[in-house]
Amino acid sequence: KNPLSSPMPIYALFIVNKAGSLIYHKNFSAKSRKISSNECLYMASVFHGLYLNASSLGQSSGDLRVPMGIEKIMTESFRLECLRTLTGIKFFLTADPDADYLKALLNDIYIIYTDYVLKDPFYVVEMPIRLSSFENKVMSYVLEASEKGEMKNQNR
Amino acid sequence: RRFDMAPRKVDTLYIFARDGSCLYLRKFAGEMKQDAKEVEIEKKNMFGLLFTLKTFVNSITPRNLDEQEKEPIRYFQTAQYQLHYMETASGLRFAASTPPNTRNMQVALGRIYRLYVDYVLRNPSYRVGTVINLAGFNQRVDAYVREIAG
Repeated sequence: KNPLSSPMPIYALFIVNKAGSLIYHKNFSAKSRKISSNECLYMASVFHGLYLNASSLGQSSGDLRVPMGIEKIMTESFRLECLRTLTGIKFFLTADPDADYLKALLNDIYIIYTDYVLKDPFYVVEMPIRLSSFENKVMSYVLEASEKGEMKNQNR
Repeated sequence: RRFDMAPRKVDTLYIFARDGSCLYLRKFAGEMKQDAKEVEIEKKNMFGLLFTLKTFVNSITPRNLDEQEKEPIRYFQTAQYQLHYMETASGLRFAASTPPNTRNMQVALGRIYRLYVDYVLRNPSYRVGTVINLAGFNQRVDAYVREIAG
């Protein structure tokens, strides 16, 4: 099966730390619009703010112990899904609007993060992630999820 | 376009003008009593969120947009609510909050926009861009919200 024949429905992964800074970004789709690295940094922080705003609008009591912010954004061209861990790290993916399998993939990526990043003795928490072992593992999971997702969609 | 009969419980309906002023804020959920200051804060926060969300979405979209083209937002969702969004060509913004995992409300928002055109815009006593305080519009919106609540 030629990997270039079916376009990649998962576009990009962003990981934002507790303070709202981008610590990881990866583009999976060659055909999607290129976003400059500066723009990525900025957008990650904007999302962090949006996440908190959405959370405060939902909580009338004003109790901000565990913010419950944006988990999904649907637009005409893409969808975004976000996982916030209990420690405040946010993982979010942009993908095709029909990609309804992202929640499981986000959880898998979180596990890969704990195994390959957090358990790395040289990694300092909250810092940018530059580990090829992590990147390769994420890549294989993303490819697998997109292939399985595409097959399921075709069978509908 | 087929509009399925899945229940859609609207908790709050907002209508914003392009300049950010809130023309209409209507709560259907009922219980929460808010004082005037809280309501004003909610209006500003909601518009601010929608405005920033638009900017964010336009920057992160994988689609190559033309000069003036914007990426239309359908909705966003948190664990506590879902916010459906529709913007008209004139810059009027309709937003409706519902419980999470509610089906698409683009058609419903379009119907509410029609109600706005028929009962607000075409009302000779209404001045465009001002706060909407019309019994006829309120009644129609109430009826429609009840109808789609299932």
